[in-house]
Amino acid sequence: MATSYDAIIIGGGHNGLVCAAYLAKAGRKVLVLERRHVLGGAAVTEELYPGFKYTVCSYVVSLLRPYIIRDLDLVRHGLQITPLECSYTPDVEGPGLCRWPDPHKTREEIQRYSKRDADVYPEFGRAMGRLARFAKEIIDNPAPDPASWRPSDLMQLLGLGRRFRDLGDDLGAIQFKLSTMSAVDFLDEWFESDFLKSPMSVSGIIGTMLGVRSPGTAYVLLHHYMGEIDGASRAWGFAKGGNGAVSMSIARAAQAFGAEIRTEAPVHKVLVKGNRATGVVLENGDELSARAVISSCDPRLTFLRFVGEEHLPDDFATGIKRYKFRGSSGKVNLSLDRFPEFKDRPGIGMHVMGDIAICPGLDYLERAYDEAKYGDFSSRPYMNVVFPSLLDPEMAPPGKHVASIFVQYAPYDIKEGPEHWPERREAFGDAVIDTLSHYCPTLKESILHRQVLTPWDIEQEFGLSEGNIFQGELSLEQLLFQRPTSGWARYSTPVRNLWMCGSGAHPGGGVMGAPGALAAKTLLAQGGV
Amino acid sequence: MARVIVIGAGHNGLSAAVRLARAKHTVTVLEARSEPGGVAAGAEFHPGYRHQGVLHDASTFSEAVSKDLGLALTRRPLPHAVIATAETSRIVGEGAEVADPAAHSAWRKRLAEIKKYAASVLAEAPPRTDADAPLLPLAKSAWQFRRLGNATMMELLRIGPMAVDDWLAEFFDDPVLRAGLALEGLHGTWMGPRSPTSTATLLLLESLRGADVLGGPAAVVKALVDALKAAGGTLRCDARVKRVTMAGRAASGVELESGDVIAADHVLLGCDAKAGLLDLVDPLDLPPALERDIQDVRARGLAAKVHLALSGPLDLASRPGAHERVLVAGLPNDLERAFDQVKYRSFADRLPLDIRVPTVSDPSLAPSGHHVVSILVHAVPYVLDGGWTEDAKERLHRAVLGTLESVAPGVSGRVVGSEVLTPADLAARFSLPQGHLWHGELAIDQLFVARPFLGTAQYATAIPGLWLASSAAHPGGGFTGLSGWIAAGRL
Repeated sequence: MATSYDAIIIGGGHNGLVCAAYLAKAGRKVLVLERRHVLGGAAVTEELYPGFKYTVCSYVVSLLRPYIIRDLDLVRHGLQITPLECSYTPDVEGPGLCRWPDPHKTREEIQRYSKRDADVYPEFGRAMGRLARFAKEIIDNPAPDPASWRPSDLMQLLGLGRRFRDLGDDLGAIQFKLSTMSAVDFLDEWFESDFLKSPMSVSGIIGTMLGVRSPGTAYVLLHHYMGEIDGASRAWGFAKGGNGAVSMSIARAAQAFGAEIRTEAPVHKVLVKGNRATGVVLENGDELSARAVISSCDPRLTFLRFVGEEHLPDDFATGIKRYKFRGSSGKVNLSLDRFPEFKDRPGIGMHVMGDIAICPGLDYLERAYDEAKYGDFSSRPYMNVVFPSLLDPEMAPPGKHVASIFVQYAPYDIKEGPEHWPERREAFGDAVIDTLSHYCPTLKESILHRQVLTPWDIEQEFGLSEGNIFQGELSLEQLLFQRPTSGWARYSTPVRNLWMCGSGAHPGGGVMGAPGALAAKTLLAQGGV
Repeated sequence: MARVIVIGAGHNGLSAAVRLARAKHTVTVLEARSEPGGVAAGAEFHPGYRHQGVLHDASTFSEAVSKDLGLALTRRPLPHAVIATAETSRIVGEGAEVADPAAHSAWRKRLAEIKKYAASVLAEAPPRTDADAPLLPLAKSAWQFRRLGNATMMELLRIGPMAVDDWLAEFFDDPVLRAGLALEGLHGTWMGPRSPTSTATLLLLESLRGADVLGGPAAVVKALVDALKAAGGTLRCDARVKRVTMAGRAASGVELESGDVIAADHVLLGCDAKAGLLDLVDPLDLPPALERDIQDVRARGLAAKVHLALSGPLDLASRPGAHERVLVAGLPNDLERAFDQVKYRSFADRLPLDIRVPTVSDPSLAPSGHHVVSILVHAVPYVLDGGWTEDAKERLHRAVLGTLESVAPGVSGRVVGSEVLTPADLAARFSLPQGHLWHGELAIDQLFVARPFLGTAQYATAIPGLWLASSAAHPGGGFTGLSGWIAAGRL
């Protein structure tokens, strides 16, 4: 086994693997080091109860960049994505709301809540679709740098300015509002029905410690529509085998290009000599050297633990310490003896072949946030439920099912202190099951096994600081040229030969692969490796 | 020599009118109420007791405006403020012996850097941003911003979107101090101290703030009215406008409730912009895009006003002595909890209070030895479940007195008279559709080029001859006079 590489990548999550694959494809000698026994980071599938496979943390494929699928030939390496058929919001009293790929069916559904909204919905979709093209430009390129005087950077800024003006006055105004308003204020300008606005607004709060009425939450609404222009079947879907299968397909691609991947190889320190990263020391004491060290871990872990503050300039260290995580979500995975039918729409129909949002109103969502603000988990949380076994029968034994439940809010900083989460874990799990039981009355008696992940567990097990699923809050001041901190949004760091390629870098979180790919491209372009 | 009508004799309408009258235009200001000033007017709220305006802070009134209009105002340093809780207190303000001086001076220094830049931006019309806009003003704005230097520019981009409590926590460990500092910055917003972007609105307020005016807003109104008369302008009170008259697509004057019709070349809306455009312009004359945009402007009022007549001084348990400014905010989470109630169309038992005791510097406002306490009550929503009934109003009164009693025990026993203005009362008395004192929430999507909405050529509307001249227009909130003054300059 060699001990010297062109590039060592810390962390075998999907971004680390994407970065490795691109570098290996360019002929570089690459090593990926993963602390756990499985690859994938938070995009991982594990069989924690015999015969039942959990897509443990992340559970849908959102915005995996189409060019990555192409460049790395992921389909040949086993990637298979089933589109989500429906976005379903069940109701305890009313008929519930399904939004389908078919606009006519969606129109009928929305009409039950508001005729006016049903009329406006397609128009809203068209406006957002056009804006999504503008946003795509931003996630598919390194972040613009408003502080740079370099001609290429100024051109990029001017280009963005021109594209913005090209949107025209009306769309330009909408884009401006999207970038600054709260999800609810923004949707209020279009729609009247609370029951429609609720599931639409939640995309703005996923993974952040903000409420749907907090300014700055509107822009994530675009993500939904960005998926559509990428091609619905690719961008929003469920990967056969769970999200672990996405990671494995990328890993296989990387290996096919010649990358070496080691699991159970936890890194202890990044070796820094005279402000240059020269390699890493593993926890077992092995030293490995490389021309470039690339961290797919979050900025706090990377700089404050692996590198050490003593190697960092003061203002950079301050920026990293101020970088906010504030994990706000948890995950409950269930093994089920039978399918727990929904009260408002019984049966296993197309309505449950997608994602199911438990959010019966805007006040409900806001109250869930308010509880979390003062250090409690939400007694009635927002939940996003997927039954992977309906989309891929191999996830559970025949006739049995698994459920993946994303839960918000579960604040990392509970009032007892985050280290007390293990004592609160089961109570949190109970709140989730109790809430879901309102909609699925037979849920409780069908549960064979449950796994409850609190933000504390996510931090301890998956190395995500404060349990933030996006490696740092996606708040306005932590995006674009400020991710993770001003002046260092282009994957390089103040330590030479040390780079970032995780979700803590532009354009941030989600199973997009974009930070990994953009980091690799930047490194190659700049001769960093 | 144009004939100009200004609707509304608030401080912005008057600032516009004086500027135009001094430029020799024929100006008529029409005021629906029987006296000028709007929310800045002083009034006798209880026999023998006067306040200096529903808005009671005149320190934001622009020095550029008062200088340009030749207003006779006596400026003085802004008195210090006491941030009071039941057990403890902090002093803030320039020149005073402040709490946590080291952190305070670092914070003041940062504000000063930003203020230098902000002063240039706030005192002129923002550039147009529509697709046909000339590039030069846009480029000038970009250049002004870049000239801040990378460090300050990037810092502004970093802190602007932050929650104000997060930003203040970078300077101050003391939560009592943070809550007090955050409180004033939240005025006119629909936010709590943990809402993102609330730092931007605090920066706006701090940037507008200068020296105080002796006599408060009422003194500014008086100076403006005197200046208007001196310049030959006309002020008509008890002259409620019924509608804006049109000649073709352009505004041609106004018709009053009394039936009088007054012709004009230009009509300036010094009143609330929503009320002006939606109630005074015939819907058939209102371009659909303009109607949609003005309807989308968020202007949810969430302040109430209480005036108390006291038979003695306001004695704070934690800080003896006479204080002109008192802030009661509790801890940051108390402030946040008070705002939480607003979201659910309710108000808390303990409310954030921004207090002025004008009788400390002007004893003539009350009988000898007596005092006037002017309280701007935050986190009280216009939209209240059950509506603003007499009962709800009484509950508000009790909540305010209860909160005040907690920092000044015994104060209730000295109350000899009081006036409670709920957001609904403010709406009715001052023609503010949802009781918002600044005609539009302060929020980053409703400021600068986007005030009151993006795509307007600022101050001019899509109706030729009809102009916005109230705080619905840039720079908006705060008692500044700038909105009207810049509008007049544009005209």
